[in-house]
Amino acid sequence: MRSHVPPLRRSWLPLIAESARVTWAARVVSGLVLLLALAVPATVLGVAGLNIEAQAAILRRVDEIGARTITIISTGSELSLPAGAVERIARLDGVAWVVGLGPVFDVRIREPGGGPTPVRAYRARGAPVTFSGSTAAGGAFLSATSARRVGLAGAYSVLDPGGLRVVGWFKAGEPLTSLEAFILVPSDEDALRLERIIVAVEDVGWVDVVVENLASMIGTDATEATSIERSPALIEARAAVLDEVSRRDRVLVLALLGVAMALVSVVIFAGTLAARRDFGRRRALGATRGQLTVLVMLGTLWPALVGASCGTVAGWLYLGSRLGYLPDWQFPLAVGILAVFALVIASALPAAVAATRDPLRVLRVP
Amino acid sequence: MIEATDLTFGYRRGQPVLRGWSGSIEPGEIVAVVGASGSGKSTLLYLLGALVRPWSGSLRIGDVNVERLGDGDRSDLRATTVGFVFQDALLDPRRSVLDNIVEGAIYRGVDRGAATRRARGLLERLDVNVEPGRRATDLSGGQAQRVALCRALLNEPSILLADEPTGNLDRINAAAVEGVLREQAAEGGVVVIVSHDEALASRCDRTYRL
Repeated sequence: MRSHVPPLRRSWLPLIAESARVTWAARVVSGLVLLLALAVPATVLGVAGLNIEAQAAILRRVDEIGARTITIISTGSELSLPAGAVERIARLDGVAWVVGLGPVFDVRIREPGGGPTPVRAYRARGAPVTFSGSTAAGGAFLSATSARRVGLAGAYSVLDPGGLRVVGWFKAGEPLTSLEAFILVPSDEDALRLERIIVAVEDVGWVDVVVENLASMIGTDATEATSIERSPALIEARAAVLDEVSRRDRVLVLALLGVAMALVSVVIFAGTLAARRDFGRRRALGATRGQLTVLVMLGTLWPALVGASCGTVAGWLYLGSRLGYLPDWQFPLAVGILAVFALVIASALPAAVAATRDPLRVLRVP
Repeated sequence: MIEATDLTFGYRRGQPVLRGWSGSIEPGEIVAVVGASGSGKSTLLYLLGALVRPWSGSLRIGDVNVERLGDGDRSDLRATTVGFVFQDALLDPRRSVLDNIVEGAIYRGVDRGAATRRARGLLERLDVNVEPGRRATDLSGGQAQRVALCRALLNEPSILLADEPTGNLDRINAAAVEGVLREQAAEGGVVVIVSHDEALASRCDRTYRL
């Protein structure tokens, strides 16, 4: 007497084909799974697009404020920064612009009226400061702010002490708008000594590299009497912003997947509950629990594949429309695969429940 | 072919529906199981079909001890040896007649082409005049039950278990279904019919009363 049956060599191919037919027959459940699978990558990629834009805007703002700037200050009793350092630093890789400023002293207009106004020598390469008026060397340039303060009476006023002649106007852009409080005197004299040099680099990643090279640009003697200030707090804040945005992205993806998995689990469970007599019949016809589990999971896989493919392409195109270019396909593909994988996994539990349901209970006609 | 001794089974602990049933059925026999509602007729049928293991007692099908088989082995046994016919046909209404019939071959791993050929042959043999591509929901009761018979016979089972196979049919359709069951027994198969119909039972080789 045998206590086993000769093992049946079951082929999985008929079962796979059957799962496709069952998926088509159960259109309501399949449609819901398809919609959920479509929504996950589309939403993730859509929100990712908005986050990337928001992240870029925040970084632009942080970088404008000063994370990309380095300030070298002469700290000795005498000015130690040579004016020629401005040109040398400007030639370094990654440097966007350089501004050198001389010491501050106050001047007044020769005519009556107006108050003392600070003036300083100015030397720059590529800085966002525009000048208009005479190009005569040694002339003074006023901004709208400094002109009001000094009480300018005419375009050709003279400032004392020093007999500086006003020859034109200047306008400073970000982040140098604070210069508009001054009267600037552009100078190309090699003998000029500067009180500070402000260096802006093209990308925050260049800050360390440029700082390392500054000493040789300024000169060894000058280095001892200078301090180099950067904006570590801003750089840290920048990194923190990036971390926070990335963390929120991850939380969002996980939350979306979690919700989609829960919904798919409920939909599949409801579907198997409604079709419990079908499962009983399949068991009576010789289906194993494993075959039924696979059948339900494959029944989730097909609509999930279709939905996730559509959602991924739609999300990718939306992302491209927001960014102005089509981003790499790896991230959208990974999101799509993750969505399919998550939804199929979510169907495993209701599939197992359906497969282990007592066939006798569901087959008996009351 | 089937030999059962003291089979006991129930759905709730301590409340057996079937208590100590014994019996044997030989190849070529057509046997009726009759009894009042709730007496355990359908339960006995599903026990004989190895859908569940009895609480106690022994069940032999051929030379296999069914009560010792695991779920996978019992599934294999059902796929290769047993055919079920249910009272309400239990077809999938969303699918075609052909899909419903060949479903029996899927779990056995039979190629769909071969299963389809055999299904068409059975439709002819059982005189089911319906398009194989027609949806099962459009069938009459008699047609549905004959399609269910085709599904049960697809794997050429040596045991055919029918639960009230003519219960919902008119006289002509009932006679046609009974004829197929007799034919199956005549070909050397074991046929067990659960029925309330005493007349049908009286035409069987033997009757078990519960």
